[in-house]
This record gives sequence, C-alpha cells and structure tokens, in this order.
Amino acid sequence: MQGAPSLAVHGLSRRYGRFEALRDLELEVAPGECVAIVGHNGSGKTTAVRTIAGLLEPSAGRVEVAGAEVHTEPSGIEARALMAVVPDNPSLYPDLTVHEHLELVALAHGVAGDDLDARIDALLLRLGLGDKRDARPGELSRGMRQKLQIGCALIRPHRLLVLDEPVVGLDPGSQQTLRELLVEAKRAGVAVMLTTHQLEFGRGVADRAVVLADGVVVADGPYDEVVDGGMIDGLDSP
Amino acid sequence: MSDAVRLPVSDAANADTRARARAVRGFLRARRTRFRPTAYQVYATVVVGGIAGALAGNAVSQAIGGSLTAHKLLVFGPVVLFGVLLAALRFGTWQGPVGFSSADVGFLLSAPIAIAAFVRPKLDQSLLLGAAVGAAVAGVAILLLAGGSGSIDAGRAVGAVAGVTAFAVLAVAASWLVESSRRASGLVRRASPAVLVIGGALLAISATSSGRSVGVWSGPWGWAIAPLAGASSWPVALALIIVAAAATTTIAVRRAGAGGAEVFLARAETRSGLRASAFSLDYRGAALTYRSALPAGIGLRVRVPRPRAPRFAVLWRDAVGLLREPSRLAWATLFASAATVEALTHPGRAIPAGIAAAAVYFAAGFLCEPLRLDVDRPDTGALLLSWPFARLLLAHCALPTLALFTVTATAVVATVVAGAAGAGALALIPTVLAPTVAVAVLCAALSARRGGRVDEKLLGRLLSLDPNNPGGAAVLVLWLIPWLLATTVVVGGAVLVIGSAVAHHRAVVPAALTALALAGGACAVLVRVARGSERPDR
Repeated sequence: MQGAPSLAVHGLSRRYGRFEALRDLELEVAPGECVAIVGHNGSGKTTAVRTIAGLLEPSAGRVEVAGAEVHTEPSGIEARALMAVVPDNPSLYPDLTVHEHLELVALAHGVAGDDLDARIDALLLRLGLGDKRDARPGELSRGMRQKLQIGCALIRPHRLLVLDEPVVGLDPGSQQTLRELLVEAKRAGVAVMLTTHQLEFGRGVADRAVVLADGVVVADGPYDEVVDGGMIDGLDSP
Repeated sequence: MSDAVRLPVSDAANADTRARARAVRGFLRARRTRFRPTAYQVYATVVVGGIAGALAGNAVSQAIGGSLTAHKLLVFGPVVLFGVLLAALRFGTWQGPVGFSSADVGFLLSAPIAIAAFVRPKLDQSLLLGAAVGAAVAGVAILLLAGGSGSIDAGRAVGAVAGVTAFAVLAVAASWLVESSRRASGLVRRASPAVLVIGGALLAISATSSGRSVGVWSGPWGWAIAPLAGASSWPVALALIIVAAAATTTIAVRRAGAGGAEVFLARAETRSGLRASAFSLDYRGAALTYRSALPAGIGLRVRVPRPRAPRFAVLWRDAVGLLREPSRLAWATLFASAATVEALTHPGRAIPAGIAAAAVYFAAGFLCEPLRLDVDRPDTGALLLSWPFARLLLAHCALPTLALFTVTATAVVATVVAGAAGAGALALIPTVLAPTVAVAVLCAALSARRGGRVDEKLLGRLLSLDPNNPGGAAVLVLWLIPWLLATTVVVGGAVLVIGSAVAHHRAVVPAALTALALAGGACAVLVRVARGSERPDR
C-alpha cells in the first residue's frame, strides 16, 4: 500500500522501576521521510531509539516496521530484516577486522552475491575507511568505529534506518558524507529516524523534528520551523 | 492501529534462519583469536591448581571431620544443595547461564534470525557444564564417603551420580528461567532473605533425628542427596529428581526465545562494568555495578518523623535508608544471627570463632551503606551536612551498632531457648556483646572510609611489579582486608577466649573480663582512629 508508514509507534512507554523515561509516544515515519528526535540529556531520546530498535522492551505500546511488530516473535524477525540500527555507542568484535564486520552483517542478513567484496570495499571507501580494511577496532578512533557501525547498517537492505547520535565523534568531512548517504537513502525510499544534539546536522536531511522533554513529545513539526522556533534552546550547534 | 501492509516473509526465508545462525556462529568461530597457553602458563596453572586443590581438599576434610558420613549428608546435604539452588537462581537475576557480548547483541540478536537459534547452543553448553560439575561433585563425595565409615555399592553410586547430576542440570535450567523473565528475577530478589530463613529452618529440622527424613523429602535438594546418603526409598527420590530436572529443562529449552535483546544487553553492560572495575581494583565500583544490575527489591515508603535536634540528623537519615532498602537489614540479620549461633554452638574452636567474627563484620558492612554513599559523593555530604567527616563517620555507626546488638542479643536468647547453648550465655548480652558489636561496626565504617578503591600510588607500585611475583598480590590482599582482619582478631579472639573457658570447664568470669578488656580496648583505639579521619578527597 502506497503511503503506509515504514515506522509506526503507538502509545510507546518505558519505565525504569518507578521512573518513566518515555510516555505514550506516537510517531509515524513515511517511506523516504527523515524524522529527527531532539531533546536535552535525559529527555528520553536514547530510550526511544533503543525501544524502537527492539533493544529495550516497552512497558506499554507497540512498534511496527512496515507492519511487522518489533517486540514479538516471529514478526520481530521480519521487523529486524527491515530495520538497520546505528547505536550511540559502537560495540564491535575486538578480534574481527573492519572488512570482516561487514562480512558478518552480510552473512547474518542473508546478503550474498559475487560482488559482495567489491560492494564492501566501495562502501568503506565512501566512508573513508578504505585504508582500514584489515584493521581491528582497537586500531580505530571513536569516529572510525562510528563510521564502521554506519557501514554495517548500510551494507544490508533496509526500509528503516535508525541512528542514535550518529555524528558524535565524526569530523566535518565525515558528517557531510553521512548527510549525503542519508539523502541518498531517502531518495531510495528508506525512512530515516535519528537523534542528535547537533541541530545543524539535521538541516537539509531531516524533514520533521520531534522534540522530547521528560519522555513526552512537546513539539512535532517541520524541522526548520521547530529548530528555528526556539522550542529546543540550549542544544549544541556544531 | 497502523494500516501498514504486513510484508510477506517466505517460508524458505523462515526455514533459512537456523542455517544462517549456524553459518554466523561458524564465521565467528573461524575468525576468533583462540587462547593458546604457553608451556609456562600450563606449568604454573598445574602447580598453583595442585597447591590450591590440596589446601581446599584439606579444608573440606577438616570441615567434615576427616570423612563424609551418611549422617552428615542427611543433616547438611539438603541444606547445601538448597543454598546452591538459591545461588543459581540469584545468579540468574543479574547474569545467568546464557550470556552475549554487547557486540553479539548488536550484530547477532539484531539480525533477522530467531533469538532462540543463538540462545539454544549456549543454554545447551551450560546444561552440559552443569551436568559435568554435578557428576564431578558426586564423584568426589562418593570417594570421601568410601574413605570414611560409609561403604557404597555400585547401584547406589550410580544413583548418587545421577541424582546430583540431575540436580545440577535442574539448577542451570532454573537459573535460565529466572534470567529470561523479569518478573521471576524480581520475585527471586525479593524472596531471597525469606528463602534463606527457610534454609536455616531446614538445617535445624534436619539436625534432629526425627527431622532427617523431612530434609530428604522436602524438595529437589533432598531428593538429589538421598541416593548418596543411602536414605530409605532412595530410588523413589532419584526418580523424583530426574523427573523434576527433565521437566525444568524442557520448560527452559522451550523458553529459549523468551529472553529478548534487553536481557542480554543489560547483562553484557554489567559484565563490562565489572571488568572495568576489576582492572582498576575498584571494588566499590564493582559492588555498585552489581547492585544496579539487580532487579528492584522491596522498599518501604514509611515516613520517619524528622528529629528536632540536628545531632540526630544522621541517625534519621540512616533509619530512612534502612526502610527504603530493608533487604540490607535482612541480610545483616541473617549474617549476624548465623554468626551468633555458630559461636555459641562451637565454643572454644578457632575457625568457627573466626568465621563468626567475619560474618558479623559483613553484617555491619550491609548496615554501613549510607556512610559509603556519603564517601562516594563527599561533595553532597559536605553540602547537606557541614559536619567534620570524623563526626559524620561516628554518627553513621550508631544505627548499625544498635541494630546489630539487637539482632545478636535476640539470637543469643533464641539459641539458649532452643537448648543449643547454656543459660550462662545470656550473661554475654549486658557485658561483652555491645563492645564486640561496636568493634565490628567501627571496623566496617573505617573500611568504608576508603571509598572502595585501591590507593593510586599503591596501584602504580603493584602494576610495576613482576606479575609472577606473589608478593604484589599479598600486599594487595593485606591492603584490601585490614579491617576484616582486625575484626577477626578482636571479635574472634573475644569469642574464643570465652568459648575456651566454657568448653574446658574453666572459670568463665576471668575469661569474660579478658574478652571485655580486649573488645573495649579495641573499641577505644578504633574510635580514636575514626576521630582522626578526614573527608576523602574524590
């Protein structure tokens, strides 16, 4: 069905003990749309992303990726096939090389083909990791590890791309590359959801901004209007 | 409700996930760096393992009085296995038998592959490991039993191995059931102190001649021990434990897909935190990481009336803290009661006296948590209460001393009423008990003062030492446990002096005066040390 959301979040709440980190989140992201979730520290951005990505169980509500519910099996398997996630803190295998990480993702997601190696190398070149093909995570800077995580998300097919603070640790050149990659993904019909502290990064990429404060959506609208409207004062600019 | 179209996923793709999981595991196996020990490492492990094994064997042999007997198995066996099962369940609340690294969670559990396909091999490995450990323990027990007065025929030996092995498998499976369920984890956490009390009652019942069969038939912990102990109708007990283990394992295997990524991510982050704390020898950090990984316990929302006099502020704060986290009082009660009973029922024996003293120290440690919190955040403490640190430290000792005195005095009375100690033990309450309890609390408080981190200069010196030099480890151990040692010497000494007089029918009054002088003198010294304490610079 044309126009159906790639991501649909209904009444999503998450508690940690007595603390309610996220309350009744409603969100839809259409194919080819990019939504930026912004907010101060502790506003619930990472909890939202982790819950949407299936890394946290919701206390209430549900998340669907193209109709497949994330938190139940077997539909969760379908959802994971359609969703690529870049976490805020890169967790990599210390004994695998950069290339092997991408090979592993391809294997786990059933990506095959004679040209796989060439595709991996091309992606690494694009991300500025061409000369780090055989390096292990211990030999990479924070920014390079972040780029590898982004590569791991992009090497596999997906309809939804979720990125938690993707520009942390990235130099301006790499931020520009990431911006271009996200714009290309949108053109290809991929829905993008990202969180960021760096409001300037979202310009030209994000179509909408959703502002979270104390786990509740306090603003939702066109990115530039929300950002320039003073609803999120105090967040960092690059 | 979303009107999104549900994407069709082909049967072939679904059937493919298991094969893909196998391929992924094979990929990782082939590329992971395997640990290959050097000849020296093998040699050192064998030598150290041999020495430690001999020491442990000697300690076990002494603890069980030279050999294992059917009587000891009937009295202590069910309680020991009961404790093992509780420990396995508790382990499941924060780690459990199935673990993944953070990278595994990001790469494997986020892949379109059923989580059960990754959980199952790890669960199977843990079940097998549990079975191997169970069989080994049963084998050692059979050897110890054969070395003593109890002979054991082949049929019973097979039954004994099968019983303990089945119990170990049951414990692993139960641990996974706890790990995979947040509700079960919370239940185990909240029920643990009560379950320990039940364990104590089980021990008390098993110790009586009429209660031995109660222990054996009270549950899987008793069924498992029945063939080893040669209890009547042991084949029935063996059948029961095998059925129980099979049922629990079946449920555990069926729930292989129940633990979501969150379960494993939280455990991976806890392991990372513990590893980081261990590398910097930050045992306070490790304790806080462990505690934050546990599910929430019971907290009483009772309001304590605020005192009018400022000098009672810390006492009030400690009382509120104890009500918010009553499990600390429960654990302290358990440790202190067990210590008191141990000391009174084994008079004149050095090891029980030392163990009892150490247990009282740990009980005091549970109660000194608010002081540790003040040390963790000295800026907060200084802001809220501008007292000199020494005064703060001593004020934090009041409630723990009062609580421990009440608990130990009650335990003395209960032991006397139960007939396990003579009425003369009651005289300890108004005399020696208060100073010995105060010594334990002061030592725990002085230990807390350091903030649970190894001094940086010492750490630097230790790191510069040859890792094969055991001197560095010895220095570190001595640095870590001086206050535990002090408690063991003073409190254990006082207990031993009085106990020896009782055990050898000597005059008790001089012994009690000696113990009083020892504990009182130590108390005075410790208060003096505490008064010289300064706020830690963190």
